[in-house]
Amino acid sequence: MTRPGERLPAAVDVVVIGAGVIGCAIAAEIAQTRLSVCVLEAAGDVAEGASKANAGITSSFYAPPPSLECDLLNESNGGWEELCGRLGVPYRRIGALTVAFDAEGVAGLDRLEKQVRAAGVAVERLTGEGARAQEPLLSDACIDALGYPDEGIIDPVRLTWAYAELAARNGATFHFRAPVVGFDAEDGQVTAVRTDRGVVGCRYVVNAAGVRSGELSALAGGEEFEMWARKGQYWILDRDFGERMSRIVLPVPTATTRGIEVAPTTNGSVLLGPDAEEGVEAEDRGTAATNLGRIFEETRRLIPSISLDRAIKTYAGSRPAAEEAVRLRFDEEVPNLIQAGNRSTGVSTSPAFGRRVLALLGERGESTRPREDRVTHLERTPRLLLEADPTERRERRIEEDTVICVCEQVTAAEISAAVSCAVPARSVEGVRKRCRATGGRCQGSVCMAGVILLTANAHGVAPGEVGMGPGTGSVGRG
Amino acid sequence: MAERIVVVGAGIAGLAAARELAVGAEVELVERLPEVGGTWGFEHPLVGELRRSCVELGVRLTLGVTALRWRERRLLLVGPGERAWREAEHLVFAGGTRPATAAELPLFGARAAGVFAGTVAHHLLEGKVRLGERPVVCGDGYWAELVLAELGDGARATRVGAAPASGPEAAAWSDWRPLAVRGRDRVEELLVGRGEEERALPCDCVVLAADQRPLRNVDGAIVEAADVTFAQLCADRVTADEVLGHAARSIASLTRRTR
Repeated sequence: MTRPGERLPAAVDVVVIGAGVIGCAIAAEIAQTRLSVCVLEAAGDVAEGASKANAGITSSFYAPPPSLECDLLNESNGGWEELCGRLGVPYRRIGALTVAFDAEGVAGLDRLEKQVRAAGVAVERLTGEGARAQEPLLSDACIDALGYPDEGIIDPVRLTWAYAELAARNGATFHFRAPVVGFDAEDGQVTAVRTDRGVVGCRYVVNAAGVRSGELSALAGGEEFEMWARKGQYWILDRDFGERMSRIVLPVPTATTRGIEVAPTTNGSVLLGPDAEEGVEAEDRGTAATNLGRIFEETRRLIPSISLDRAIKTYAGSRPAAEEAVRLRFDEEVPNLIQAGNRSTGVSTSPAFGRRVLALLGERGESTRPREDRVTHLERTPRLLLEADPTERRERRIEEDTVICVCEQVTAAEISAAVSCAVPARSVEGVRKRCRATGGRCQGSVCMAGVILLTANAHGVAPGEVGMGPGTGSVGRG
Repeated sequence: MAERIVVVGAGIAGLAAARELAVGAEVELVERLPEVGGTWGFEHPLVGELRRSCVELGVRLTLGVTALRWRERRLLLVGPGERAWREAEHLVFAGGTRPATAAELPLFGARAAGVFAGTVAHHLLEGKVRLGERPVVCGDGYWAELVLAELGDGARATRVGAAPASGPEAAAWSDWRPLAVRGRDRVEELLVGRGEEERALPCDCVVLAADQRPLRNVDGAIVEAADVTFAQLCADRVTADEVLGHAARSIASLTRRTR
């Protein structure tokens, strides 16, 4: 993952720690100004922590007002069509339903509706019939529901990559497998960030390290706080089922969790999950039959036609949990350290996070005006799966007509773009994150060897040296 | 006018189906690879015979083109130099089989490197990629045999779920099932189970070659429908003649309708 000979910059204006959705969104904003920025990431790719475990929902409401989380959601939610259009990120505002089955659930909806209205977020109260008119697969046992027309679905990993790619095209540098091991300080300010690959001098540090941000804050001499991992497991069901669903469907939330939901994805598949399990290590990506069995039972209460013979994959991820939902401010101890962390709505608040961090730098007298020559759009490799009429007459390169991943309809051109962009894929999982190849119903049975060869060729390494992801393990051994 | 039928997949099943149907229908046979034969290979005698019959009966062969979507009796074809919607009254899908995925087995546990579908392991081993010193091969059929042949005698593969007849090492775990992967960056153990019993098999590579499933990758033709018929025989050890017979039975009612 470390490119041979690749070196860290000697000094930059801003070091961002963490290449998750928040770190990358911040880097994308800063890179468009005259400030220099580099991103240090302990893992081998973007979106390796909570951003990968995200259910791919852009929330319109999460926490009651007045709260920072509520403000950030409201600042972000109107802009998805414009942002995703510019960055080529799959997004659809399909709406969500929170559904109740009994008197207790109805009371929960009453409380929720008041909070959502107070937040100024679009919401409608629906009867069971009304909810089923919006989502015909919804259970007949549903008697009452809240509809959120402004809720959407997004490809969270593609979003994270797109922020990173935009940042890199504007001059930000990304350094993977570069875990931060310490900080240099003078007069209480951080002057440099130490990694096990070298030292980067800096004027500001942004702590966007997700589940590790408490640990890093302590290392920098900043505020003491705790972030811990909350693990969640998911089923992914095939597009063949997903295409019949039209809304995100959720149970009434409890005090601690939004609940196990049924969420269509922008790839056409459906996610069932996540559950919430604490006291686990952040790296724990293991799945278990008992958890997944329970998730299946709970989601079948919402959508009875869910069937596991349409399951194509199970996975687990960790999202950060913390006492303080959102941290977005200068540290109280270290004046040039910006804390940028979010327990749950990282994807949904990321546009506002980027802009607000830039504004914090502005408050310190930094020039945050965007450069005239900045890149604002990412050119798009046509995505065969999403082309309404793929036979439309236009000029095409031969790679655009060569289908490598048949299940997800990914062409050689799309894979080539994924392995040769500014923040390229270096592993099988990296390719899947950027263009979906190997992620379909056969899970790479047909195409994975081809994907490995294309990745190896792009980086001039042997096929056995290509990473599998998410860890450091590669395809071959010995 | 004769009914138009598209057959997808030109292995023995697809060739056999195309030949049967061509007697009474207008048939196009679409294949992703640039040659017929599928996993049987184009030099297989039955493949050659079926191909000649197909050509004689006027089957249109479209090779090197991938079928992707079946919507309202139109099939989307994409290949170098060709993108087209093909109109047809019926689709016969003969896309072959693959080993079950982890989710289908189901196999739970860690997301560690070194776990491969039998198909992928075979391609990589053919390309001289060394996948591990201590492989575990799950399953007992076409893909398991190919992988074991590529691994050669040097690598002592542990076999799980292979019939006792497959060799002395296979006997030990013949009636066990893979349950979970353990390991961090690379697989370190495969947890296997039999009834209430569980054992951890140390390994650095796991090949999933068990439980054949039909490959289904044409959107809109994933499950049986009025205008979709499947000709895919899922079994561990099958002969070319069994595949031929199974394909003929799969399309029997369609054949009757078109003649």
